[in-house]
Order: sequence, then C-alpha cells, then structure tokens
Amino acid sequence: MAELFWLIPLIPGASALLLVLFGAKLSRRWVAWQACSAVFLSFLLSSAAFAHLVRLPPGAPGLTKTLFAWISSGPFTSPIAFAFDHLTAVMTLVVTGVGLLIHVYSTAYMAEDRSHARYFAHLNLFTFFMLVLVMASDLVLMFVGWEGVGLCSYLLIGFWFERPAAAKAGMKAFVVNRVGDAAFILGILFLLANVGGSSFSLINKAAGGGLLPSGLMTLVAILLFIGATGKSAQIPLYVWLPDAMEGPTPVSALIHAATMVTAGVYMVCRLSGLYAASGPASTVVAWIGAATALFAAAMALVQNDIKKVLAYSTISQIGYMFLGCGVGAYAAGMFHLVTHAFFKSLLFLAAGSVIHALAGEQDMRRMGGLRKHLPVTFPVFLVGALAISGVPFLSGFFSKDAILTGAFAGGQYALWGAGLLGAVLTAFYMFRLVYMTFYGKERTAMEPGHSIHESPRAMTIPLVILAAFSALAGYVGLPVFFGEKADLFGRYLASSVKSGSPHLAVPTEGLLVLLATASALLGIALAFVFYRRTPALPSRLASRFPGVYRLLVGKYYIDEVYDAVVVRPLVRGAEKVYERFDLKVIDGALNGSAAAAGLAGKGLNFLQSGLVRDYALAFLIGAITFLGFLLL
Amino acid sequence: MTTFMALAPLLTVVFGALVVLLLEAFMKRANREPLGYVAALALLAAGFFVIRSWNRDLDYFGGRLVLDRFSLLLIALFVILGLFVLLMGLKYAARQGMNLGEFCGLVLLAVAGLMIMVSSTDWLVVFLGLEVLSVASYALSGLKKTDRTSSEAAAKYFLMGSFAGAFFVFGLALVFGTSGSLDFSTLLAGGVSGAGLAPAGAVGLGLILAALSFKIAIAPFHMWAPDVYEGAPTPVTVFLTVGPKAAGLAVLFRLLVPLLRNEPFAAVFGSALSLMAVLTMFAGNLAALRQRSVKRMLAYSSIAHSGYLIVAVIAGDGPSLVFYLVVYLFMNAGAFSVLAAMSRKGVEYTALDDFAGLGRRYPWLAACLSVFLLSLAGFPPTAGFLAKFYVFSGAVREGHVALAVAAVLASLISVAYYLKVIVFMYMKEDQGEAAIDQENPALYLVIFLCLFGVVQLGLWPGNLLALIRQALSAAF
Repeated sequence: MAELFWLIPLIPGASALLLVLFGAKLSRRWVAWQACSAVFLSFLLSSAAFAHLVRLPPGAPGLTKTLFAWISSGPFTSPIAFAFDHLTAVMTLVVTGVGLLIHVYSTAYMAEDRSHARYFAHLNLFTFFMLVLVMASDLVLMFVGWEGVGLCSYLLIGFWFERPAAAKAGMKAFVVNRVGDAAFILGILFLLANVGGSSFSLINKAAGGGLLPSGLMTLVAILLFIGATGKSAQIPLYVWLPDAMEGPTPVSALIHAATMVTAGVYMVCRLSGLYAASGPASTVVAWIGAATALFAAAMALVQNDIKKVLAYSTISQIGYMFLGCGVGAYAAGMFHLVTHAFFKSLLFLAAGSVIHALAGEQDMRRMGGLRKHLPVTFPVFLVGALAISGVPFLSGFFSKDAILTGAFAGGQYALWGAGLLGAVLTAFYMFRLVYMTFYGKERTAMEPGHSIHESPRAMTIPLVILAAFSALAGYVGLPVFFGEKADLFGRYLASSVKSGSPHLAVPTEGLLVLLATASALLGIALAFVFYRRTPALPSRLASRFPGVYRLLVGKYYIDEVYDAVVVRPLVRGAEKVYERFDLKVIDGALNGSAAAAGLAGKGLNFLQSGLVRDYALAFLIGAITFLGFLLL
Repeated sequence: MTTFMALAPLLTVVFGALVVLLLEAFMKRANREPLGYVAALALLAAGFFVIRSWNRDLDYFGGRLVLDRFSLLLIALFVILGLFVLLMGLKYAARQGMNLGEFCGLVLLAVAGLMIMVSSTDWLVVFLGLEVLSVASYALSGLKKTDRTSSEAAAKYFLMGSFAGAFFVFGLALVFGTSGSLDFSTLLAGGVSGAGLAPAGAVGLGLILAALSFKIAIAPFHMWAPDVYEGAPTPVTVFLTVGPKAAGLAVLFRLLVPLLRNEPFAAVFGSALSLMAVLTMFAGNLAALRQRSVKRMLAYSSIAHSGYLIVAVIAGDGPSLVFYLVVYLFMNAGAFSVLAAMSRKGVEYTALDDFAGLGRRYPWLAACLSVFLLSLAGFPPTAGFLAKFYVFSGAVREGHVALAVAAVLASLISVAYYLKVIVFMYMKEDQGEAAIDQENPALYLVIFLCLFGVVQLGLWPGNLLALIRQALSAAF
C-alpha cells in the first residue's frame, strides 16, 4: 500500500471538492462521515508508508512519485511530485492523525451549526493543502500548499462571518500572511535564478556544496524565514494569530496550534542544509525564536480569554522550535513540533469542551470551580498543562529539554537562559489558567436551568487519546544520559535533517535537566501562590507596576504601531490616488452628464467639462517628461 | 515565402465583416443571432488559415507583412479573443440595446486591425493597423447608444486616441527623417552597430512609445482607460483590455528587445520603461483598492496587469510575455463574463453591493468568479500564479531585481481588492436582490472555456509553453 502514498493529500482534496459542490444537498450525517473517513484513509496510507519507510535499509532514499511535469522555465523544471521521507512522515502522521481526531471532535462541536457542510468542506480542503505543503518535493509546489493553507485559514477564521470581529480577523490573518508570502516568493525567485532548480535536495546540495555565494544564501534564507514568521506567527508578523481565535475552536486546535502554524518550522528543517550553511541566517532564526518565546509568554500572563492565553502560548512555543532550529538542533525543533501538536491541540480541544459546557463563555474571570463539573475535561487538561510546562516525564519535558540542551551545547548561553526564563513563564501562565478555570469559586454567569455538563463522547474520546500521546510521546526522544541510543527520534531524522551540536557530558546534561525541571516547578509554584493561596496578589502587583501591566495588557501596542506605520499610510496612499485621479473623474463625469442633461439634444456638450482636456494635458506632460528623460 | 496566402487570415476576417454588415440589411430586427454565427465562422476560418500557415514563414507586400510564428501565435490569440467577445455579445446585445450586426462587424474589423499590427515589420503598416483597430474600437465602445456613459466613453476614447495617433505620426516623421526608412530593421541595424540614434530620432522613438503606451494603458498615459473600460459594453471591455494591450506589447517587443540588448539604448529606454512599469503597477493597484464598482475595479486591475507585462518586455522574456497574455485573456475574459452574466434586460449589476450574497444565490457563478479573481491575484495553483511566476522569475534571471521586488509588492496590494469581491460574495448577507436572467448559453460557454483555460494552464502549462518557445526561438 506504501506505493499509493501520493494519494494521501488527494483523498481529502477530492472529498473537499465533493463537499464544496454538493455539500448543501447532503445530509449532516453523511457530510461528517465523508469528511472523517477521507482523513482516516489518509492516515492509514500515511501509516503504511511510514511502516514501509522504517523497514528500508539505512541510507535508502524515501518514496517519490512524480505525477506530471508542471513548470518548465528555460533551464529549470519543476514537476508536481510528492516525496515521502523521514521528515515528511513525521509531519504527515501529525497532520492526518491529529487532523482525524479534530475532525471527529468537530462532528459533535459543530453539529448544530447551520453551515455544517461548508465547515467540513473547508476543513478537508485545509488538510489537502497542508499535505501538499508537507509532501511537496520542491519549493514551488510547497508554496502552492503554503498559499492554500493560508486561504483555508482565512476562510475558517472568518467562518462565523456574521460576527464582524471574525470577518475582520480573517482578513487580518490573510493580509499579514501575504506580507510574509511576498518575501517567501522573492526568496524562491532568487533561488531559482541562482540554483537553477527548486527541488529541496538540489537546494540543500547546492548550499552544502558551497556552490552559492554566502551573501546570497543568507538573503534567501532570511527571505524564506520572513515568510515563515508570517505563517508561524513569529515577531514581527505574529499579530494575526491572537485575533484568529475568532474561528471555531477545533479550527484553532488544528490550524492555529498543531499544523499550519508550524509549517514555518517544517520549512526551515526541510531546508536545513541551506540554514546550516548560512551562519547569520541561523542566528536570526534563533534570536527571533527566543525573543518571540519570551515576548509572547509575557503577553499570555495577563490574558483573560482562555483561547487567547493558548494563542499566545502557541506563538511562544513555536518560538522555542525556531530557537532549536536556529542553534542547529533541527531534530529537537521537530520533536517539539510533534509533542506540541499533541498537547496544544489537547489544550485547545479541552478549552473548547469548557466553552461548550458554558454555552460559549470564554472569559476565565467568569469560570472557576469547573473541576467537579467536567470529570473528563479536567484531568486531560491537567495532563496537557503539565506537559507544556515541562514537568518531568511528560512529553513537553523531553522536547523542551532537547532544545535547551541544543542551545547550551552550541555555546549559546544567552539563548539557553532566555529559554529557561520562558519555561518559568510558560508554567506560570498555564497554571494560572488551570487555577482560574478549574479551581476556586464558581463565577459562572449561567442562566438558571442550564446546568454545566460534560461534553459528548465524540468530543471526550479524542481528548483522552490526545492526553495519552501528550503524556507518552516524549519517550521516543530521551536525553543522552539514558543511553547513546535512547534518542530514537533524533536518530530516525538523521537522514533528513542536519544533525545538531555534539553531545554534552552526562553530568552537564543532568544538571541542565535539573534546572529545566526546577524552572517548571517554580512557575507552577508561583501560579499557586498568586492564584490559589493569595488571590489578591495579582491585582496588588498590577497596581504596583501599572506601566508594565498596561504594556502587557495593551499587547505592547504593536497592533497600534503597525496601524500607524504601515496600514494607515497605505490606506491614505490609496485614498490619495483615488481622490486625485478617480474622484475627480467620477464627479467630473457626473457634472458632465448633468450638464449634458441640461443641454439636451446638443450632443456631446458634456465633453466641455474640461475632463478630456485634463486627460490630454496629463498625456502631454507624461510624454514631455518621458522625452526629457530620454534626452537628458 | 512571398505569397498571397499570407493575407488569407486577414482577408477572411475583413470579408466576414463585410458579409455581416451586408446581411444585416436583409434580416429582421427580432432575431439577428445568425449574424453572430457568421462572424464566428469567419474567425474560425481565419484560425484555420493560421494553422495552415504555421511553420511556413509567409510574407507579402515586399516583406512588410510577415506571418512568422510569433505573429501567428498572437493572431491565434486574437481569434480566440474575437470568438469570446462575439459569444458574450450574442444575448448581451439584445438585452442592452445594442445592434448585433454592427457589433459583430466592428469586432471583426478590430480583430483585423490587431492582425495587421502584430504581423507588420514596417512602421507605416503598424500605423495602418493601429488606425483600423482604433476606429473600430471607438465605435464599439459607444455601441450602447442609449447609455450615456457608453457614449461618453466613446467620445473620450476617440479624442484621446486621435491625440495619441498624432503623436505616433509625428514620431514616425522624425524617425523617418533621421534614419531614412520606415522599416524596423533599419532602426535595429542602427542600434546594433552601436551608433545609437540621432537626438531627433530618439525623440521620434519616444513619441511612438508614448502612443503605444497609450494603447496598452501604461501610466502616465492610462488616464482614459478606467472611464472607457467602465463605460464600454462589457464584451467590448474584454476586447479593449486584452486586444490592444497584446498588439501594442507585441510591437514593443519586436522593436524594443533587440534595442534593449544594446548598451546606449538600454541605459536610456530601460530605466524610463522600468519607471513606467513601476508607476503603472502601483497606480493601477492603489486606485483599484477604493472602487465600489467591480467593473471599474477590474478596469484598474487591467492597468496594473499592463505593468506586469511591461516587466516581461523589459526583461526581454518573450515566452513569459506571451504566456502571460494568453493566461490574462482567459482570466480577464472569465471575470468580465461573469460580470456580463450579472444582468437582465436593460440592467447590469456592477456595484460591489450587488455581489453581496451571490455565493448563496448563484453558487456556480460565484465559484467561477472566485477562481478568476484568485487567478488574477496570482494565487497558486491557478494559471495566474504561473504567469506571474514566469514573468517575475524572468526579471530576476535577467538581473532586474528591483523591478521584480516592486512587482511582487504591487501584486501583494492587489490581493486586497480581488479578495474583497470574494468576501462580498460569500461573507455578506444580500441586501438588494439582483435578479439575473440566466437564459444565456453562449455566455456560459465562454465562462466554462475560461475556467477550463485557467485551470488547465495552471496545472499543465507544458504544451502551450513548448509551443510558445518554439514560436519565439525562430523569430528572435
């Protein structure tokens, strides 16, 4: 079955097409079944291809399938071809596996929605584009998926477009992403002009073989990375992700936590040859990652919307992944991507279950004490929170530790310190969320008669499965003091990505693990003190440092700055062009026609409005300028 | 090979126009649709001759009219364009009070003008073609005689066009005065020898370029375009946004590319053209942002596309230029066809608000328009993406990096307004009920063909590109 792997993206694609065209005529049951089974089939095929892949002898190339020739431009050609190697397998399994669970969860979560078919059509379409992105064997085809997931993300954020905030958030996500994409396409163009091809193997080979000038490599790597900051919500283009929480919660889990937003990390790993060969670009990646990790974690501290906390947390965790990639620990970055996909989608779906139970309430100040009411949601949420905080022996502990160890081993002590500080913040804001939501007094504002109830099976079963993975997924990549061969994940990926820095001595590594553990526990302890033992403390602290607090609540005023520096000048520019040329013309034409009506029967009198004379004058001035340019 | 057969496509079309105009006199007013079929037949016959002449390098009039593969390719494009326009017009004419006979005859004559322009190697013949095209276009844009904006468009186009024509002739006189010949090759020979042009010759060439830029709608000579594109009947708008643009660019390409390979010329014309390209892309895209009428928005978008096309000319990238033109024909004609479909007797819906909720009321029309708009915006994997991709990568390859960056940024802006229409169609509740008369099979055929073109060329562009490369390898 492995040789059918190229059907992995096409099955959800075909399902999406059917749902787009005929979804309105199909029954709700059928729509849900079709959407879920399409993703399930993809998941089966991915598993089969993965099984085939691990049985291959080491060093053997992965599966490739060229569907047909697509672009041929002079010296370079780019076929529509899918590849399935070790790195792809990881992403494909995550996308189809987590995707399947979220599809199942959605059948219950969206059961009552009036645009049920449209929802599943878009979700399948997203899966299709995401799998194209992941399985593309060259950069141009990856860009197709890259743009496609952006489009689907836009459609799904704005899914409830009756809410103006949702429509606006979708637009914002799309526009910010397009800014990144413009840089991305420029990077591709530069690569094409200099490498003469766009397949990943060719690019990595050219970069590794020293065929490219280092300045060009840095330029291309940074342009592509700007694209990644758009898609993966990193500084400076992260602003869209918090707003994207206007979409349905399963969408936030699938697109804005587990899969699409990590596409940038995947891209950097895919081109690890290029990034490894360009020192400055790697430094930029690492520092942007570290800065985002801290910056976003700080914003998560003061959010009151349960989904917004998770959104900033996602931004921060993706920062960790880039930090890992930037210091050369690509496998660690991918490892964190996988564990994050599990625990973050778990957290989102569990938050969705909370929101579902409270009939749409998202403000944590009106939650509290839900522990008793949600006997399934609470324990699984706790597992997710412990995992993301990096509490020992859950998945997040191992993957975060792998990144921090990588930074330390590479001699980047400042980055390592930043990561450690971020870990404290992470544990703090996660347990702040846990305490505010599940402990303490009930502050819910529910109407009488509406009791808080646990969600249906279709929602809780995916939660339990994800909780199991969040707890256990870490054991595939154990740190080195469990033995040289304990890092199964790293060894598995060794053929696809550049390997990281040399291993540290066992005692050093042990010390690092202890420090990471200590920082996680410190964060949890602080949250306990602040939100459980002395709940008055946060407000006292806020009044003590009003400046810092306001800065955090105001999200550093980055949105306002962008608005003033980029958006408004552009709008004003368009306005100017519009007023100067268009308004005058329209009004002029109106005046002209009014005059013509007045002088009915006199033919083309309205021409004397002076407009044509204006045009001719413009023409003349243009021609004279042009000639002046030629002669001088 | 010099043979009378070189004139066959041209003569077929002109003959068809005459037949249509004569037949009209003998037909009842009620049903004149057969005239459209006769005109379409003439175009198909011309297409047949184009295929027959492929690879035979026919010429006539002492080599002044040449059917090399480059011109044949463009003539084929014009034949398809003409067919689309005719099919769009069949029902449209009756609904919007146009005379179908005049419409068909004028479209054929305008196509004949385009054919002359792209197949000539002599300035005077180019001018001949330009005038045939222009006179027909002036009349075409004013065909909705009861509609004030249409007559206004015609009058404006006529006045401005004559102005540009005067520039062209004056420039021609200067070029002739300095080089002593009206043949492209003399000018090229002067360029290749490295001598450059006498100042008067340069001025002449500059004036000719200005006049051609007017036809292509390049800033700062684009002022007329939005008014005319908006005011003209929709099928005519399709013709005007594609035909003159393609012919003007072909002439520019034939003339400029050899010249731009030459240092003294490249230094002067290259930077002037780059400046105009950037100006065009940004003026078109920025002005389109604020439009409330979809038709006018598409008019500005058409100006912006002229800018991208000029980038291909500057980079000397013939295959990308022609590929872009073909793709532009499909996506632009497609978008305008949907616009033409949004009509019933005496009414056309072009305001953005009329598109609110279209996705629910007419899902197929809305889906098609979305594909066309995404293609115009350059969204993969549509053909529009590939077209832009080829042009931009050609520019980078030839070292015009700044130009490519500007083009990418400009197309970034363009996404906003294309997307706005899609947002309106799918994400707004409909306020008014734009009731569409859906009885219009020929128009739906055009929409289908355009959709097919956009998807086919986006995924399997190989055959067309091979054809284009083959055509250009011989000519240049």
